[in-house]
Amino acid sequence: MTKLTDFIELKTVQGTAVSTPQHTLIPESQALIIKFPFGGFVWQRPTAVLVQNGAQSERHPIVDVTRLATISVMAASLLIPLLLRLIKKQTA
Amino acid sequence: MSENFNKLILESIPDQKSANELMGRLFDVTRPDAVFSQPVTMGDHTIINASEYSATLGMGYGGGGGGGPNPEEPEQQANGIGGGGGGGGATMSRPVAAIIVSPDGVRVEPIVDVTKIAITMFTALGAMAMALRKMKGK
Repeated sequence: MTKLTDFIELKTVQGTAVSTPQHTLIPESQALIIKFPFGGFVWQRPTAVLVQNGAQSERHPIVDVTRLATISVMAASLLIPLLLRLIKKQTA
Repeated sequence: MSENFNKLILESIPDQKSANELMGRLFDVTRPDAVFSQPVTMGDHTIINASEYSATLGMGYGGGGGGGPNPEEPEQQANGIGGGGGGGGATMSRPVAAIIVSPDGVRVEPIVDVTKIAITMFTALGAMAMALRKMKGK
């Protein structure tokens, strides 16, 4: 039986470690894969970098500021007219 | 970008088998090496660029057959076969952050795409203006 996971997959993967004189970095990314019989879509974004310094390990998340800003602007453009409409209805 | 990713973009497809292999390669590029660049070292500092990317690919095939002989022209054997295919795709990549490794430590500096934000803002303002104008008209 065909499952949804056969078509849509969301996975977090860690890449090859990069060594610098002071630290060892392990890149981490997340991929969304949508498969069709004759096509497909892949979206991959960096999520974090794991920094190892001796026995210490630290996770530095990677924030996509551009995506956050665009989503906020789009959300505001939907919410502001709705709020104004509600206010107008209440005052009328 | 990885070599594998570039191969995906510049590819001619002679047959269906190659097309299926190309499709498989689309999903192979989901490795972190595709979003993280090779480290660039300058003095004490090492910089790694992190980008997001998306790729989409689609293809289709079709074929046809032929008919029997024409009764008006018995000598002529009618026959025919045909086939064809086509495909297309698109890729997009955008830098998200720069990872800077220095003797002081590791820091992640975001890369802000001001043009993209500005375009989204003007589009949103236009949509809001239209919505408010419609509200006033009622």
